Parts: sequence; C-alpha cells; structure tokens
Amino acid sequence: MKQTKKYAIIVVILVCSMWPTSAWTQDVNRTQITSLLHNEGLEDIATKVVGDTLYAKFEDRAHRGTFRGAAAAIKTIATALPQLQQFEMVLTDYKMPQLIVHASRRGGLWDVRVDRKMHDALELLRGESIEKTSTGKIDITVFPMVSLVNNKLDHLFDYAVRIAPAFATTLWSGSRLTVQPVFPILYRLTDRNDSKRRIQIGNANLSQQILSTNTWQISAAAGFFFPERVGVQAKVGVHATRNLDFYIDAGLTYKANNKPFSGFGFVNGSRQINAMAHVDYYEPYTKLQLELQGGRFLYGDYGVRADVTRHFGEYAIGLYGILTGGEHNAGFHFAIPFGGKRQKRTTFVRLRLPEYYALEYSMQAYFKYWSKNMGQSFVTQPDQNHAAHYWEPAYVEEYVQRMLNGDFK
Amino acid sequence: MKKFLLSICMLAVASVCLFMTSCKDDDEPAVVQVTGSLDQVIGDETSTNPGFVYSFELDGRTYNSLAALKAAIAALPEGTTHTLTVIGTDANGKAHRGNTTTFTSPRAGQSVTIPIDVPLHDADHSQGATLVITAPESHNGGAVE
Repeated sequence: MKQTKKYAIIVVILVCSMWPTSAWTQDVNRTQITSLLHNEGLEDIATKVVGDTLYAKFEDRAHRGTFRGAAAAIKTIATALPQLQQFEMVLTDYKMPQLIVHASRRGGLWDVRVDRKMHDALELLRGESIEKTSTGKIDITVFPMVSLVNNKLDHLFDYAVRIAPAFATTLWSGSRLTVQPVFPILYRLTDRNDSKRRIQIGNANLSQQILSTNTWQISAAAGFFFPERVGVQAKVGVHATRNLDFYIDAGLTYKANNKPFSGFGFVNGSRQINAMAHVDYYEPYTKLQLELQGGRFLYGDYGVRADVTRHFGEYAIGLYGILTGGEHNAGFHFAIPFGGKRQKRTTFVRLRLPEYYALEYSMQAYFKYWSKNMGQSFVTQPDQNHAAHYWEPAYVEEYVQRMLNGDFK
Repeated sequence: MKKFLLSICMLAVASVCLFMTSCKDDDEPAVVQVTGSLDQVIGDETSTNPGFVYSFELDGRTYNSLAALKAAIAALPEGTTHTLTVIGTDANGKAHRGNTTTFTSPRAGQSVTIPIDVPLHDADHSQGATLVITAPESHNGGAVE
C-alpha cells in the first residue's frame, strides 16, 4: 500500500513535469543554476525543475560542516531566481545521499525542514546529468597531531608533535581512497620503541559507503587504519527515528608492521576481532548527542563507553566514561573549527587545512588500562570526530535555518 | 572572538586536567621503593643477640630505625651521591661501625643495589646484606591525544 502511494506520487510529479510550466520555469536555465551552485564551491551537481520546485543534488567539499553548503545554495538561488517557491536539495557525502533539505519560501522568508526521505527526489533526479564532478580530484589535508602523556616522574610530559598529510580522493559513488602517512616532527618519548618516533603508515585504505537510505547505512573499509592496524572493517546502521540511530561495527585487524627494515604488513599472531553495538541519539532542544556503545574493544577487552556531546554550532564538546575489563577511564573531547569556513576547490589537487581540530583527554595513562591498550578503537578516516560529517537532520535543519535568518555566520 | 575564546578555554581546561592528574594517587606504588636483604640480616642479629641495637648514618645524620632510614633514602634526589654506615651498639654501649658505603641514588626507571657492611655482635661482619633502591618510571597521569 505504502509502495503504491510512493509510485502514485512519482507519477503525479512526472505528469506535472510534462505539463505546461509556469512563466518563470521557462526562463530557468539549468546551466546557469549549475554555474551558480558551482561558484559556491559545490560539486557533482544534478538539477531538475518541476513546476515551481527546483530539485538539486550536490556534494559540498568547500564549506566547513554539514549545513553551510545548503544555506549558501538557498541564498544564491533565491537571489538569482526570485520566483522560486520550493527548493529540494539532496546533500551527498562522497557522492552518497545523506539528507534532503526542503526549503519553502513563505512571504520572503525561507522555512527549512531536513530529513532523510530522499527517495522521491532521487528518483526524479535519476538520469539527470551530473555536472562539475568531483571524481578523482585530490585533497591534500594537513593534519597536525599533538600527543601529551603525563605519567613520568622525571619530567612533566612525554610529548610528540607530528604532521599527517592526508591524500584523499573519491573514485566512484561512496568511495574514499585515503593515504595519510604520519611524520614525527618533535618528540620526547621515554620508550625507545615508541612508534611515535618513527614514520607511520597511518591511514592507507579504501572505504566504501554501500548503502545510504532513509533507514539504512552500510559501509566497509579495508587497508591500514590509524593507529597501526591493518585489516577490514564493516558498519551497519539503522535510522530508527529521525534522531535515533542504532548501528554495529566490526573489524578484523592485525598489528601493522611499519619498520623500514622489517618490511610492511601483518605482524604474525596479532590478530584481533573487535565488534561494538552503538546507540546514538540527538536531542534537538538541548543540542546534546548521547552515545552508548558496548562490546569488544580493539585489543579484546569487553566493556562499554558512554559519551555526552554538546554541539555549539560547529563546536562539539563532550564528556565520556569507559568501563572495560574491570578498569575504568573518563575524560572529555572536543572538536573546534580549524580551517576557513570555505576552502574552494579550484584545481585538480587542493592543499587545505582540516575543517576541525579534535583532541581527547583521558584521565588514565598508566597501570593495566594503559599498558594493555584498553578501551581503544581505530579510525578509518583522518577527520573522524564529533563535528565533521555530522549528518543529523535536526542539527542540520537548525543551523541552515539560523544561517538563513542571519543569526549564525 | 567568542569562538576563539571558547577554543582557548577548551585548551586551558585540557591543560589544567593534565596538571591535576600529574598528582600521585594513594593507591599508586611509592615513588621510590627501598628493599633488599638488610632487613633480614638485622632482624636475625637483634633477635639472637638481645641488647644489640642498630643505628644508621646517612650523609652524617643518624637514623635509629631501618624504617626511618628507608624513608630518608626514598626522599633522596635522583642521581646524587651519598654515604651510608651501619652502626651496631652492644649491651655495654660499645659501638661497632661497619664500612662506609658510597652510592648514587637511581634516576627514574632505574634500580640500584647497594652492598651494605653490617657489624655483628661477635665482631664479624655480615656478608651479602644489600639495599635495593628502585625508582619507578611512571605514575598514573593523564593524556591528551
């Protein structure tokens, strides 16, 4: 019944699209729209005009955060096409749809709703040519890495300052090929075998988002992960409600051997299987993101981790606690804006700063918890933090609306 | 400006947390541990020869118990040179001085074994008495990564 209703809507929309259109749509030049959106730094642009509604799908690799691109697109198109009443935008991440923004003009002001009901818009845009493609374009993002460990008796810190340039490109829909070696710059490390003294492989992997719908999110990755793991990882998620997600992720990894004289690859006997179940809830009124995960951490310890993160626009500041294998840890993390608000990609290769700088403070740095690497997990992407790629409908909706209202810049 | 200040505040909070967690907890091991066979040798001698008591001279200062001596050794600055002499006093009040040992206190992560000459009641001196000073490398602190 539900399916029939969907088809009926599509048929109605298609019939409407063939109907004699209103005066303004006859004047609309799709090349001009694409050009306007591209001037804002948007890529992989597909557009279609149906009645008084403009449908668009695009990738925003220029603006910081997940909401600036949509707000910029609405402002630009609204100025160029003052007759436009409805603007439907599918926002993509590595060419995979994440959210749809429904923007309606109401007496000179824009009313914005955001959700994941993208199916109908995607059906409409299917077959439309994709302009200004991002395929193969390379981003070189220079990540600084600072590590301070305060557990020594004869000096205040063991420290390491490293730099990790990430070379990343999207080869096809949903893919991301990343190579991110890590180079030591300055360090004082007591342990002579500490891997922070050496050049590390860091991330060198191919990740693939396989499915992204109103309900499902499925992704996988293979290669070298940070820190010092090599193997495969998969993640399956369900959007239970607009603000509540469940997902599980699992990995089979080995310790990565990255000593120049011993070769690169697996370290025998270092196999680990990790699996975690997650619940992620965003509370729009307080802007709190509540996360709970439990299962087997990277080095085989069983436990739970709870995070409470407050989103202040582009800032994300959170507290966490971990109970695992009879040990405990707690601390806080934050991600703060780092690069410019917009870093447009004008050439095939772009050198840029990361959008956010993220740090995590841990109160435990010794005894069993530290020596056995408890409560650990690996990352498959260089920009994995609580602010980047945060495709949460209520969060994006609020900040697109606030940018259009002029009370967030 | 507000955002810049927020960033500075976050970094300041992280720094304060790091400094706070540099303090040693009660359940952590002692900063410097002093062990060895000296306890055993002195325990045997005083139990078999009642009235024979020991005192210890560290850098010219006298300590009347082994526990007080250990506490003083544990508080020595790392990598500094010191002298230690064991003195046995018999029931008649006659002091028997052992040979003075010179040692260097260990640095963090090191351990030093000091051979100690212990005068005995029968005028012989002990063989093989030692003090072992161990300075652990780490304590439980915080980390920012």
